[in-house]
Amino acid sequence: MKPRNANPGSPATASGRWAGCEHESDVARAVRTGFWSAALQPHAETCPSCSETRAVTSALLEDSAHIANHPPDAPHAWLEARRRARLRLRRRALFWFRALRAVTCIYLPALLIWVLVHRTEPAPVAWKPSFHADFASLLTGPAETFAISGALLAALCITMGSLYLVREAHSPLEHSPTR
Amino acid sequence: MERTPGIVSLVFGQAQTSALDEATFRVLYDATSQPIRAYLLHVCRRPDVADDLLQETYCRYLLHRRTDMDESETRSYLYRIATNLLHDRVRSRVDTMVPEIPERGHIPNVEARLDVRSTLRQLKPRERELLWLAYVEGMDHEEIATATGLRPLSIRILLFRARRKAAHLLAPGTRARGSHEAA
Repeated sequence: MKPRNANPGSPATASGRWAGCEHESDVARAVRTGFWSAALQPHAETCPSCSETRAVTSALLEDSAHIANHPPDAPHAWLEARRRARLRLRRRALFWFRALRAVTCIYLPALLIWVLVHRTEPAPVAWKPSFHADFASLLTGPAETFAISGALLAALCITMGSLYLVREAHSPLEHSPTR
Repeated sequence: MERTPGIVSLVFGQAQTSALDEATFRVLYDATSQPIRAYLLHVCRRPDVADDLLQETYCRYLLHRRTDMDESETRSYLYRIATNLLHDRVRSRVDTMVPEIPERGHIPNVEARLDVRSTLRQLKPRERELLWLAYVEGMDHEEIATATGLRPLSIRILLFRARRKAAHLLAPGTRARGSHEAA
């Protein structure tokens, strides 16, 4: 068993091809499992790449062997995952409702200014209360675009926020019946 | 052809999440949680952080998993999430103080072990990730590339450099000098 690495100081040869030893993974596996084949052990002692691999793998395993590795149990992880999922949905809903608040903060002063500007205009003599006629005549040009885009933005925020709240309500914080 | 999630699946994706019932999750968790936590612990060196990242890993898996993933893909996907979370953690620079990891029972030859630990701590998180995945988890370069988000061709050179650095640090002369400088 011969190492393929001609130049141990460099990972690649002059032609740019990788020159590591092809038995590195076998050596790492042998260190992990403790099973060394008759050919692999002498190879690992002579091959620079494989001896490095053996030293590093041994150090990693030695370090990890004495670390207390006790993950939380599965039911706890399941409930915690559900709780975090709900929290995430609530945050997304909150984002849309905050956006709605921002839209309101922009449109409320704009509406007040618009009302103040149009309040001073005298009503026509032949005026009759008509919702459609009033708004059609008042909301013209930029005001119309502004009002429609505001209404659409508000509708979008309310819809998206509500959908996330519905999703949150449909993800119960309890163990599943199949448990 | 890769599927792209539409607005409907983004909004109503909860149905997919709940399709994985608790029993199935338990099987997956029992099979994968211990090695992933060991990986997280090895890189971040803090049990509390490792537990938090482990929990977040499974939470994200439940939220964003694809139903057509096999066992190997699921494993790589979980490692990918864990690696991304580790990188976020490193970028946020919240871990300025790194306390010792609690030991398991009585340890013979404590000085030598602490020496190995302090040596491994000198490696960068990315180097510790690569070494762990390659030599402890036994992943091949393709799997490591999937788990870390790096290109498979880059893995070879990065792994070589990390191994060379670790071997240099672990060499008896370097370790003795490092301990002396630390003292």
